[in-house]
Amino acid sequence: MRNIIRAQNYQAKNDIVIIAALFIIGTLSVISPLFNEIPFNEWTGSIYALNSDKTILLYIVLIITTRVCGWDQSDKTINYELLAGHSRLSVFFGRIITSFIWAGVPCIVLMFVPLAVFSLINGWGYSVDLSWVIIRYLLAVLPILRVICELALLTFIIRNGGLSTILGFVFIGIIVILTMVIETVADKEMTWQLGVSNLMVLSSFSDYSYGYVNGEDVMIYNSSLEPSVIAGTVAASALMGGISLLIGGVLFKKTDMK
Amino acid sequence: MSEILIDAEHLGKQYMKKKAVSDASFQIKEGMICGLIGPNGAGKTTIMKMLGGLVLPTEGKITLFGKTSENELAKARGRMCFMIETPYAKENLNARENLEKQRIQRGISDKSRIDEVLKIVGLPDVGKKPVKHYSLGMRQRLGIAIALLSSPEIMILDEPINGLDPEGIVEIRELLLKLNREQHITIVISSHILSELSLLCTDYIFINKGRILQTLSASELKAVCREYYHIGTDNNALAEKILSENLGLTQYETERDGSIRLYDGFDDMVRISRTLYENGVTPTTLCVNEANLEQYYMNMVGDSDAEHNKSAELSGEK
Repeated sequence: MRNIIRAQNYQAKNDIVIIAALFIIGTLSVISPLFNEIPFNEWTGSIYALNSDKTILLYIVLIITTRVCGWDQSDKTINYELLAGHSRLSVFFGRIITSFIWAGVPCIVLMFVPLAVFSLINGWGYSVDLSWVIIRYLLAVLPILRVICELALLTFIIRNGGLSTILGFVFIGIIVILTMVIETVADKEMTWQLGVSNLMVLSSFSDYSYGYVNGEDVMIYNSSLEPSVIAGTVAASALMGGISLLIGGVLFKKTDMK
Repeated sequence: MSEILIDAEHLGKQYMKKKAVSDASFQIKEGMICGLIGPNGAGKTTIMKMLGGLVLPTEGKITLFGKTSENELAKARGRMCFMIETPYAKENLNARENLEKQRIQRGISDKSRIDEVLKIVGLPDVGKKPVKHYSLGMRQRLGIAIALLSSPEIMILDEPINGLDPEGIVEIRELLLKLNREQHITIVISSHILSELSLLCTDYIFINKGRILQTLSASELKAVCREYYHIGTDNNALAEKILSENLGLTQYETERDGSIRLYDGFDDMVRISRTLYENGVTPTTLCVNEANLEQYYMNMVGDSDAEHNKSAELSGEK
């Protein structure tokens, strides 16, 4: 498995699609507060946390996971790994770990590093609480890893990287819209039930109150999380991620390769 | 005595409605160059995929280097190399990058092995051109180079010379012979170009409609593909009667078109043709032939198809 991961890392470094996805989507994520018309010079750490779009990172997860797990089925890379003597489970989990490395780690970096940079430049600010933001972002890693496992399962079932990417785009888009509709119409918050909505909840702040800072009335957002959301995030991510890996591994072990 | 490297016992593969391979048993011994011969859809690629672990057999057992369990078979495949259906390479990478990736994936620490295999297959100056710009011949060579990286003991090659020009075919043949003789690599190869296989193989496995029809060595094949007279007449049935009753010649076969293949009487052809003529049979064709692999194969497949159709008819009648 270690050799498969090393080979996949070598391949990913030379893959223009992966590099482009990281660069383009990463850039969009970092500059996303601009879409809320927040001037760049006002980007404190808390303003950045409040206004940056983290759900866009799911598209990095989608493109890279389906690329690593699916495109190598189309061009027989996975076949030749099996023919070289690697076990089916090594091939499967090798790709999961590669997806964690190339999709999960960049997402973590893109969440924390801009936050740290803008805090260093303009200070933290007062809009949201720093410690709760760190807790939220640390928890957000779990649904990201969960979505990687679920997308890997989808890709190993479909066995086509392109089709999995398209279906994944559609699926994420539907979930995002559905989550907003349910919250608006039914006044019911989707939290940990789906990985996508879980990430949305952890990275967004809605309740606020007014405070008085430096002689000005300001909006201060409630940054804390309900214990049920925290527990649900951990449990659902572990459970759904684990189930996806179990089903994916068993299916792949029994599947005839094309 | 040569070691048995691959032992397939009653191997079978059933898909939903179709049995792709049925009751296939064969052995590959150390040092062989074994030709797997059969028409399209015969089951050659399915057998190779089962040996490679890409397709799971529904019947039978595979033993590789004496190992049978799933984990042991996976490890045993590390001592083999495969080129199945199309030669493998990542299109966006060049030859060296593909080989480097494979080197890492197989845990080969010696980086100089890349230069070695490129030299062996005749691609030492391949440059930085991505594989998507390679000709078929270059891709085949690169596929073989990738296969050779891990210094395999067995090569399983599925139609490696298909689509190559005559020069390319000769080069691949000479390369495989060299690998077998100098590096003692055992080779299992399938191809439709039977004339090439006859120049290469030490053993043959004939397969049709998922069943192994026959296995024989090159020397056994030579013995059965002996010299014969090809006799065509205006009344072949009567000619056969005359040969056996009037001339006492019984070493003959009837070809599919009705003409006769006579294996004896080589010193008596004048008497044979005169006797036929005197009994009202006019010879239209009379020549000496030697059966080759292609003819042997065509006859075998034809007989197999006839037998298969007959069984199918009988099953239908029942």
